[in-house]
Amino acid sequence: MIYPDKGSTTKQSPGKPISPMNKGLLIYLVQEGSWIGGIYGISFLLTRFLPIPLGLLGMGIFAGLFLTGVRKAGNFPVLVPFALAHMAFFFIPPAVAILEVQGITLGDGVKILILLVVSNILVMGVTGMVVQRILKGMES
Amino acid sequence: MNQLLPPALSSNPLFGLVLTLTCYGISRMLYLRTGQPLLNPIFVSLLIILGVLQFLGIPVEHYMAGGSIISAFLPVTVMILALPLYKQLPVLVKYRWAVLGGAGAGVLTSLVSVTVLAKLLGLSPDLIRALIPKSITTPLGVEMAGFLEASRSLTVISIVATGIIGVLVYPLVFRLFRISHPAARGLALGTASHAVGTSKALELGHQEGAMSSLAIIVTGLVTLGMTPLVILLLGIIL
Repeated sequence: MIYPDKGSTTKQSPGKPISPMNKGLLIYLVQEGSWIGGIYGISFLLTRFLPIPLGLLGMGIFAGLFLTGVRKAGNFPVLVPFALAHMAFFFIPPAVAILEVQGITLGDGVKILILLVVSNILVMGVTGMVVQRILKGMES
Repeated sequence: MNQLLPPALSSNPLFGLVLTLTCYGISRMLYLRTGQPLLNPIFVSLLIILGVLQFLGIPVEHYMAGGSIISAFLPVTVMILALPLYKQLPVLVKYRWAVLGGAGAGVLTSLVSVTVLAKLLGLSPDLIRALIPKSITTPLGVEMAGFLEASRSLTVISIVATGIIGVLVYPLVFRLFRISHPAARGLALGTASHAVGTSKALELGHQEGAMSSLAIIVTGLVTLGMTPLVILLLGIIL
């Protein structure tokens, strides 16, 4: 949060924080929504010509806007951080669709659990060891 | 099965929307209050929704009338990952070789271990395809499930389970593999257990958290980049 100094000519009382809420939450919502909607639309059109999924195309365009300086991270202070913080919400319906999957037994569930535990230990261990070696090499 | 709720009400898209929103609100509050990885919001919401549907005798198709509206936003969840990636760009540049080396090693280990273990355990090809993206972040995992023609729901559940398992086993793994460097710990947690691992990494320290959040997206992109190779190999193995 930014605290304006006491000599500020703005109508805000001294010391009152300038937050997205004070500057007009609605303006930020409309601005961010428009950019995201626009990128979504362009990506949707591009998927007709490129064999890349819509989400990844949008991510590329979004990253391109940041890298070229057309948009800054600070231009997305409300909607994008909110969606990032609540991303889990969007994955609940795909998880519920498990009811539509046929032919999975309790035995399969146990086997999957064993696989996930062993694979997780290996992935975490190997990644950590490789990174540690690279970093020690760089530091020495 | 007798339906306790009138079908006209349960098949309304608002039913699925309100039920999901309510369950998410409750499960998130539970998670934030306890900090228990087992109370992951997706996992708890899934259990509550399955219970409600079962208790009221509502077919899953009715729930999906509203659920599919929420699912329509899945591409947006991938798009907005550009923001955290951009914010972590200086860290990525500084540690590029460690990040890329770690992500590459992690992705390869994940692909090989899933395929070999699944074959040893006698799992079906459909299950193997759904488990391949288990270590990457959910938005990118769902994209990969689409590429592999796998069940999205199984992929989402395996991703959530992987995250929870990672947080439970990390002390043992760090001791077993003698991983002591903060950056290596962060990258290992993010690569193996995505966002759930990152929340734990943030508790371990600032460097662990920064590296872990970077690892989530880099690992996801590296895995997605290897999709053509994965499809080719699965075609030979399965």
